[in-house]
Amino acid sequence: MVKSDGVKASTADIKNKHKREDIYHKQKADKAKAKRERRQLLKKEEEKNPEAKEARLKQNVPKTIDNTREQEDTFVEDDEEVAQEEATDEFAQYFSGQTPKILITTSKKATPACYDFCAELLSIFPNTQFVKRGVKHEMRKIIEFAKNREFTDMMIVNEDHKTPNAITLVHLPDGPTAYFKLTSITPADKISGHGRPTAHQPEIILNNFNTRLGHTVGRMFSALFPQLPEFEGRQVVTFHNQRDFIFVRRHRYIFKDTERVGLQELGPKFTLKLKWLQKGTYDRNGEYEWMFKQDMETSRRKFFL
Amino acid sequence: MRYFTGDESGLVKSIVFPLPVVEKKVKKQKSQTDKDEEKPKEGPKTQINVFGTVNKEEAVEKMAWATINDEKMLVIARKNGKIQFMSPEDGSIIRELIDENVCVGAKKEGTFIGLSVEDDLLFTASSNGQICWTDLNTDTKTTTVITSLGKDLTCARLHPQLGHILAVGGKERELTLYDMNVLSGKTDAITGIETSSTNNTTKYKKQKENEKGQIFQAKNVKNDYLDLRVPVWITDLQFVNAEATMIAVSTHYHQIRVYDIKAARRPVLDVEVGKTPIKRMSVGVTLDQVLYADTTNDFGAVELKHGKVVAQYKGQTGATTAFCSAIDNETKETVVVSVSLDRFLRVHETSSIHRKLLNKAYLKQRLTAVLVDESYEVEKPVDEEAKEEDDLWSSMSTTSSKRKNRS
Repeated sequence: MVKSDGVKASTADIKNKHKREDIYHKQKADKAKAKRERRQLLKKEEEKNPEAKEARLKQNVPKTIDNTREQEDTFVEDDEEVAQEEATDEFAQYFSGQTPKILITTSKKATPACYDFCAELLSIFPNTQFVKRGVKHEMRKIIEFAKNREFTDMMIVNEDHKTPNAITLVHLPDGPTAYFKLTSITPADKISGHGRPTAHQPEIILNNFNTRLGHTVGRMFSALFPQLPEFEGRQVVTFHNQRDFIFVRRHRYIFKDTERVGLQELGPKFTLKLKWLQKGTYDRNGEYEWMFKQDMETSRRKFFL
Repeated sequence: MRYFTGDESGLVKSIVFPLPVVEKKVKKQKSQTDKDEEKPKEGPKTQINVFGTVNKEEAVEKMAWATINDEKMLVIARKNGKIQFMSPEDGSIIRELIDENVCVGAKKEGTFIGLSVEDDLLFTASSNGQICWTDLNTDTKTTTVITSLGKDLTCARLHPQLGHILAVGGKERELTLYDMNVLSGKTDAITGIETSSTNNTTKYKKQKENEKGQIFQAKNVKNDYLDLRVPVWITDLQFVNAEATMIAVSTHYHQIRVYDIKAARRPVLDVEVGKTPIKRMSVGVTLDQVLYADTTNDFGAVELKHGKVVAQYKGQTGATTAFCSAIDNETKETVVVSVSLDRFLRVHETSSIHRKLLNKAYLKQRLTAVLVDESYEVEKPVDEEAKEEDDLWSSMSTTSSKRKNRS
């Protein structure tokens, strides 16, 4: 039933089952053979002419959701006005040399799961203090306490059904406040082949924080770490943004010889997703600079960070 | 239409959107031949002019129009107490005054809560209750305080037509109307307005000193169903009729209230809108509607006759900080112009039920104030085809009619 011009005919209208199977398998084998021959030919040609291969590989970029994302007006690309604004914004103090000092606390009546996660956070961020949350202490009050004790940032881990589910990150003294959904937590000791972290100040990698909102969030994360990493520790904390999910990982790089480098994961790993960003320190009635609402999700290719 | 925005970095920007391109029907023959060559033309871009330099101390708090010596200019109230008169064309500062009641002390207390210019009189009010009325014909460098109305005010506004009637409100401060002429000592008696209280016994009670010039003071709404007092926190107010007898008020506890000062001291309409504090309010498409915005990305309109939300303007991702309605001089349609903390200026149409977004512009800063220049006309792009056609017509010689007059 194969047509003479090589076009594959459908086997569906052959009524004899054995015949149909036969022809189908033959067609399949022919197709695979043709493909194999084509690729071998291409390989031979490209061996003679390596530039052609380079050109082909360059051209062959698959379309992904990431590289076909909707164009945002707010992409920051060497903009002098934005640079001037950022030089005077709430993080300006950090970028002019103030050492960060972080307070970590939990929601009221926390459970061991939450405290364990806080311990992991303590190991990531240098110069951090954990304080157990008193039942009577409201957020506004804690923020005032932290301000008076010259903390520069505050993290509040929220839990629900005895699992940590959100982090509120407050930059002090003037804000902003960000609220992240927290998912996919893997503690360090559950990662196979994990290393032990040292007390060195880590390097920090921020990936793909491109829009104006992303810039603010990225600056918020970078303001959590001391400006000068201790490179001899070879520890790196990565905040990788992909489709608005922020993946947090910690690694140590290991030099195998003068050319090759390997990575050892130190953990923990978790994923954050921004839910809202508020101007100023946290206030339930404060004005939101950005807030996620379901009707903003107009397309699969629209991202905000 | 031209738009002016003020932002937290102290910049003032003027924005002109290009006119919408009218798609012409291309002749069929032409389209067949040129189809492959024709590329999508890049439309004219939005023009944005930036006035000023980045300085957080000079953040714009309020903006208003002023007409002085038949010249239209922008009045800009800044965070550090400066009031600047700016030319809308080139951004040059024509005059500068300082309000010494704003940004005082080490804590930099005090913000502008009201700003307007009418008949060469500059009205400013600060959150610590200082009401200023400055004659612009004098050469003064500072504003003239006429009275102090006490602390915790959040909003002060003069009636747009009856420029001497002042309404104020605030945290635990009920809506109160004053006559500016009496407050400033120009006249003794209140003129041009009638209230419900003029005919009752309060007239005969001994007037307290702080009630001087007071036209009307609202009374708190009745206790709630648990018989608890309802807290007062007025965030914004608007006059919604020409006689200054109807006033709409928005509250921190997300209510919208309408007071009719001829009818009663309690509101004639009291509705709850949304779940978060309503921060700003402005007169809507008609005087029967008000636009409101809360602290999240909710921005809509409320009909004052029945108190229902009649429109939602969508697209904001942050809190809307300033807005107004304006009439487009091209299409003669009313549009709603808004700026928000997400750094965008947006223009919505009001003629259809879809409230479509007509235009938006990314302005790079957290915006706080907006003004519309309705009289400004956008330059029309030169239509080349029409020009060619005109040239063709003009190049032809006119033939004189040789028909003889038979009579």
